[in-house]
Amino acid sequence: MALPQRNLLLRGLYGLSMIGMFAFLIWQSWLPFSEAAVVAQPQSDKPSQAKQLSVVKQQSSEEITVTNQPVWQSVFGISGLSRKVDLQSDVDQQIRDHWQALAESPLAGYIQADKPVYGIYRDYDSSTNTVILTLGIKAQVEGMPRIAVAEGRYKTYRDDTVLDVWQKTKDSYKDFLYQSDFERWQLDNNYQPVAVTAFLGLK
Amino acid sequence: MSEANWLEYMEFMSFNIYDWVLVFAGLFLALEILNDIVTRRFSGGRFMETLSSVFTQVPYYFTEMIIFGGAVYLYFVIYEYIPWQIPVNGYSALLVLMLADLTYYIEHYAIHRIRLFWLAHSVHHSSSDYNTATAFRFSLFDPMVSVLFHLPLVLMGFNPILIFAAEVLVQAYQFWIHNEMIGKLGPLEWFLNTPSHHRVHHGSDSKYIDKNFGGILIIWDRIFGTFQKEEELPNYGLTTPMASKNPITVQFYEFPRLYKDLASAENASDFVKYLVKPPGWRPKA
Repeated sequence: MALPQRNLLLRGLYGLSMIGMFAFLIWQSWLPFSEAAVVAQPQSDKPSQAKQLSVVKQQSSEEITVTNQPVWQSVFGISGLSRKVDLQSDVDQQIRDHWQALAESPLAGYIQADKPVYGIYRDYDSSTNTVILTLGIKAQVEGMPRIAVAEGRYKTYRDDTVLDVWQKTKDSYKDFLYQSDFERWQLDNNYQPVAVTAFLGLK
Repeated sequence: MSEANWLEYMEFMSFNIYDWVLVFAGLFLALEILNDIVTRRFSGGRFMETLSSVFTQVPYYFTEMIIFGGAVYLYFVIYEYIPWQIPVNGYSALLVLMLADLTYYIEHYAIHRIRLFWLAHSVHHSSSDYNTATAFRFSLFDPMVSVLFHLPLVLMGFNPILIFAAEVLVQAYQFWIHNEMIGKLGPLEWFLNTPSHHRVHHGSDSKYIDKNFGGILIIWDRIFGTFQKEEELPNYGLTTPMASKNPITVQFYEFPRLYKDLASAENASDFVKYLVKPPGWRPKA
């Protein structure tokens, strides 16, 4: 079977372009994995003003057991940055912006790869459909406001963010407090988030 | 990654691939036209046919926007009521891609074998020339059929974003297989839809008609007995050739032909059969 006449040079160029396209598309598709949407800055990228702050106190343990059963969570606080998230507009973009703000803040200098980063969702306002999101770490950082997670029973959801779980559980909203739901982001050695667990406060 | 991250990734990745494929398709088409010029195959008629194929994207694009918007709404409304929603992760994304490819095969088979659907899809097959521009050649009614055939995936509990992403990827794949520049590709021919397999699909020769319906994978044709390997270069186009380059004629070529058949129906049964039986069906004398 013979195809119509093809110029050897153009045929080669065509083949190379085709292979190039597939290679390019694979590279493009892999890119988001290497540039995870949620960015935590490496310590080497600490902003200079971070040096003006000092860690006053480090929590002894940040381990929280994740089970399918509700867990009891004692009160704890995080030093973090807060912003209001409008749930009616592009939530993903707002959260990305907030992580970026965290990465560029003095707090970034105190993020450690082996310590989780927390996101606390609080003060949900149903009239404006907004919620305050605080991103931060358990370590107490002088000059940074502290936000507390209330003591109580929390239901855990592995590999889900708080907003995912709110969406999934909206039919059983009466079971939840919506007071200080939080998510815990585990980082790898390159400060990239590798796992997330959501904790929803139960009534 | 969390569910939200997977959804965001799949949505971004699929549309990003589609957009880039369109850019590369422009390059492939330019090289094909250049090859036509260099090998003295170029003619005004052939060039007009290419332009005519590309132009079908204009009405197609507008209906696609409207239908796609409606489909997003419809799928999510239905999805909200599904109690057995399937978790979103890498495995379910891969599974839905496989199922979307199978759906494409079934849809493609149906739009060839049901006259009412062929009304739209015949536009894609009506060119007697075959190059990357053929991949752009669609009826403005094509998007409607696709929405119907992918509904079962929503009912199975897959997140609509995964379904749309998979659909977009299967569609994007079609742009590299419409050409006469690439021959056979060795072992890839066993399981992938390739330019060679798809040339057969566009053939109007009797042994090539209604063969090779696959989207990404050719295995569906091998499983369901619709596979045909390329033995000689096909004659492209419809069995009753359509030579017009007029965009209106291209879009509606089959309409008056169906109307004529429907008007000749002697009873309701024949009328319905003209709509649902394969193109070329005639009542028994």
